[in-house]
Amino acid sequence: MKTIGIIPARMASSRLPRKPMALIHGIPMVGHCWFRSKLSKLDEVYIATCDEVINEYAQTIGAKCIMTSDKHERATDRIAEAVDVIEADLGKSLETVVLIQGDEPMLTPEMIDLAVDGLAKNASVEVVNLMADILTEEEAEDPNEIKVVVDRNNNALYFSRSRIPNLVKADSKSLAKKQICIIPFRRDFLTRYSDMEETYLEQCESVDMMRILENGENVLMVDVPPGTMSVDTQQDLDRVTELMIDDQLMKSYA
Amino acid sequence: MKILGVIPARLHSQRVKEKALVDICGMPMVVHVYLRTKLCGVFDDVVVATDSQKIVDVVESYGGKAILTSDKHRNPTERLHEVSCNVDHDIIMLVNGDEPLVRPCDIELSLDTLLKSENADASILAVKFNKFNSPSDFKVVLNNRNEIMYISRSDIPSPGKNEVDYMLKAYHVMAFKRNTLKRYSELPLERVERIEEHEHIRLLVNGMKMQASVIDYECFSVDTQADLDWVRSVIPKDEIFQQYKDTKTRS
Repeated sequence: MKTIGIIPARMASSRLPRKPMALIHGIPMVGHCWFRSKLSKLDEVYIATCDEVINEYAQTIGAKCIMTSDKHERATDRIAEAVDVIEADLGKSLETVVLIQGDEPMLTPEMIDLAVDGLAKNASVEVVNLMADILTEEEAEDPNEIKVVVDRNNNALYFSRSRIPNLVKADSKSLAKKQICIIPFRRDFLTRYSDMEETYLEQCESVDMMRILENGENVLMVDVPPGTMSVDTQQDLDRVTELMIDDQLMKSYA
Repeated sequence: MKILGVIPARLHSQRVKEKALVDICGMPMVVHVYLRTKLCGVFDDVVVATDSQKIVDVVESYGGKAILTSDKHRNPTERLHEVSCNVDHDIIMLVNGDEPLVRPCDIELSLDTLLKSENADASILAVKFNKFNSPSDFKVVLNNRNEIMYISRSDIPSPGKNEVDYMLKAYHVMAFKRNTLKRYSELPLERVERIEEHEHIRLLVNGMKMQASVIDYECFSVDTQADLDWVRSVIPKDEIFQQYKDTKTRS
């Protein structure tokens, strides 16, 4: 076992209370993320949480669950703690750890595989994120959607909750790219990440990846087809429920 | 090491007619910028680069150097590159012709910022700024080494989730290594550069480093008649102005 996914989840969500357990077609959101991640090539998928209610739910679906501190500000710090526990249990080291954000119930197994491939194929890369075209004005303006601008090699230049690039003077209809939080880390880099001090722009934007960019290191962005949506508000939840009416992957949940 | 200061100045301007030549306390604006730049002790040469013979004549009448450049340039950096092709200086500095209050100490700081950096391709200054939702101002974000991460008309960092104490506004007093201008001119126009209308995004997208220094100074460019009126009111008391105000035309 070399490559695992971890879904960090906590009940204290600022905008949507009890978000991980919010039901979409009868299944809690964190459950959708776990079942779908299990369909990827990952060797194992864990849930990391500080909430007993999520732990109990994980047992009912057969998901391995790691209890972590309730003091973490960043999802990345939560999974760094969980990895130490997992490695101690396994008695061996992991190579790659994929952070799978628990608010992406529409994720596909292919997205996870593409992200992991991006890391596997580029020896000099320590961490990969996914990005996709933003399709609506509403999404482009929404501060809950994190926009990203990349360089010629698809390394992230900057992530922002503001609209970047700014379109005030643009004549084109081009919108922007959004970050999708499926994030493979090389194991050792995850430790380095949690050893780094929290940085100024990371705090302002509330974006984990900024700590890496501010320290002068690279985050490779891998492009995936648009169409998935993360859930931050009740409105998002309603919209995702509607979008998943004909979802085919749900039939494969074991 | 030879260092050249370049003041790009076009004759035609949108809101203030022939902006470079408007009179400010007895001297054309571009001459103020030229004489202030000359006060720096760091330059081997300083020139005004312009598309207009009229501007060349005015600068020369004050004993200054000016050269004619193409009228096809889309931005000051392209004009700088043309100048750099005809000289042998190692560092080329940009001082914009519409900033009649530019301080010699800031020009020197920007140069120093480039010289002291190990791997920067260019330097720029940044000033603390807290006017949100002002797309005509370019904001910059810096990494822990004070290198520019991105330049945008949007508010960055975003105030959308957490409170932001201040942003940083770009102050385009810049120094370029000679080779940076050559590379810039050979690279294609970038999509993001076009959208934001900021030519130096091309450097960032191509992995080049812009080193910044943050200063505590209200930089000021003349874009409107109101800006001009304000500059005319403050220049007589300006300390730097006292050092060059007696410069006379030869004619």
